[in-house]
Amino acid sequence: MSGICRARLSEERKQWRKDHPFGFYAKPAKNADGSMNLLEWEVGIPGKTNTAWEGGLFKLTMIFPEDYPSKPPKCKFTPPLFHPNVYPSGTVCLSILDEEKSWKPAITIRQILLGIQDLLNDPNVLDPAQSDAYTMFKNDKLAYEKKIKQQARDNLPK
Amino acid sequence: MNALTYVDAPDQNLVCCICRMPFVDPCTNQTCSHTFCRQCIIQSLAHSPQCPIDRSFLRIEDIHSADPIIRSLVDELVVKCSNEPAGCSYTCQRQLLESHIKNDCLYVLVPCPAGGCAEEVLRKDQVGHLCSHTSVTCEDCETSVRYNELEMHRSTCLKRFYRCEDCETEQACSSRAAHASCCHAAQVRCPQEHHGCPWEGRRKDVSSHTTTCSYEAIKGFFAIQDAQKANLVNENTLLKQKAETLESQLRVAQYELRCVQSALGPWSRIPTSRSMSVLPPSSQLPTPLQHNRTSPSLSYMPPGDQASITQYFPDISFDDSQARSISSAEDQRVPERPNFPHSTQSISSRVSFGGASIQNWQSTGSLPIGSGSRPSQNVVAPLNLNTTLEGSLEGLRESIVTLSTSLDSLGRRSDIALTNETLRLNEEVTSLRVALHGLRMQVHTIMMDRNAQVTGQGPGFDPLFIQGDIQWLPNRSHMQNPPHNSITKL
Repeated sequence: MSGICRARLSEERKQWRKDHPFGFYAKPAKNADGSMNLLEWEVGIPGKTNTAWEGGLFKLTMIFPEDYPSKPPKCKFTPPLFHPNVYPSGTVCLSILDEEKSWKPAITIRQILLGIQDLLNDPNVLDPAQSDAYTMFKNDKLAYEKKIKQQARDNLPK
Repeated sequence: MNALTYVDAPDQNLVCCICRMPFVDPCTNQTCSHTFCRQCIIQSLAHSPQCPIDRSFLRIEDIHSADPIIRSLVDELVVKCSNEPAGCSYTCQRQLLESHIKNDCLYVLVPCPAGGCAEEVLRKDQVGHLCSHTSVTCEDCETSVRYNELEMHRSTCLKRFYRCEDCETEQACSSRAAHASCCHAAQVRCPQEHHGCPWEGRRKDVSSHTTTCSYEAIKGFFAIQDAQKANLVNENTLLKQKAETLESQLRVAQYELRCVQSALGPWSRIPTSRSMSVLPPSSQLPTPLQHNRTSPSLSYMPPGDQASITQYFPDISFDDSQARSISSAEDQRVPERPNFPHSTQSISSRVSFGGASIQNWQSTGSLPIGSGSRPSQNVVAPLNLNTTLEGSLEGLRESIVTLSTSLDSLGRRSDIALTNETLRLNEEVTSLRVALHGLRMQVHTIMMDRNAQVTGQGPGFDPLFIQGDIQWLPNRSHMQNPPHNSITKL
């Protein structure tokens, strides 16, 4: 099982290095001794152009279980993001990341990251994960937009 | 198979969606016709019974091997040898790789060809591999030796020769050391080099040099000098050792002396330079060591220290003449002795008030403190240097007790003598008084007779009353007329 997990992750990495969408980055984290930890990736997702999210680069940690790809990775914004579908802990609530809903082993890391980018400007009101962003999104769209723009400014790429 | 590197990017249609690599042992499911690696789909179905692509229901029974055409397509993909990191650059169809690694790849580890060796070597190094079990042949003697023993063999090989650099002849390696010590062309130095001869030349010229060498000529002298020098060095070493021993002994002695001084306290300062003069010869001292102990303490005595000593011993007089007389009179005394004759003398002078009778007792030997005609010498037990301080103190204490008892008996005897003398004197006074009384009676009778003749008065006149008047007469004569003019005429 672990054999498939690591082989798949190294193949994913190979593919990502060969080609990945513009503005994104994804790389395995380093262990304390400097070796590569394939089960934890550090990821950056840019906000889409022509949206309130434009300009921000939002950091995310992907944690792969040993059962990957049978089980989905856990995606967590660090620091937690102001978004209706992001839990206060930073974990992303998305159907393709839910083993019980739409996850399937055929989904690649590239597809996951593009899916999360889509989710940023297109929150799913049917599945809220935090009350602050959800209530503001429902009641005061203008303030929400302003808040999102401020958040994008706070997360400018270095 | 999972870690293979494909030379060309594989067709995406031949890639398993689970492991993202070309199918290995591909399987197709009958329900939705998706194809996966056999291992991948088995693990995925063990996790959840869904197709990993469309999430439709899928069971392990629905999985069957894929079409032969798919199997052929993936098996014919060109891959690199899995030993590429070790250096193999071989590429082949995937299906042929297994036989390449098993039979041909030069970069796989195989056991050492020599029997009994546990080492593993790369196949490419197999032929030239030399381990401790490999036999090699010596070039010179053509005997078979072990590879790891070759170096040792070559240094002793009897058939091996080397060229001497000095005499330029072929010599056997085995006799290299022997030849070097006798090669006539070798560079040597004069035999007298250690005596300073700077000559250096070939061994064959040594004999001609020695006939002219000035150092060689006085070889005998050098031999004697060397022997003497060796003797001196030995002696010097011995003396150094001796001096060190003595120094250490001296340190020990000084340390002991300090201990003794601290233990003695004020006693350690008794010996002075004058008492030193009455020290007996060293032969009378028990050991030379004790002599060593005494003399440094004398040298430590500062000259102005006598006052402090007299504080401790107020009875001790440091009068020079007295000490000298003592030392001359009593040569056999121990060093501390001069202190005590003085005290015995003072005692005897104190005793002397008793008069001649006491001196008589002394001369007759009745005094317990004296044992003969010279009591002052033996009154106090002589202080023995051999004894400890406590012993000395004990002796002194006994002496003091003896002295006090003798003083006591002396006092008692003098009391008795005094009493006797007083009784005798009392008797004499009584007899004198009786005689005087008789005389007075006679005078009284005479006076009575004369008064009766002059005045004609009766015999009632008291002659004693007249005597008292006579005693008072000198004071009264200046103030008033004497009441009895007749008496003044008497």
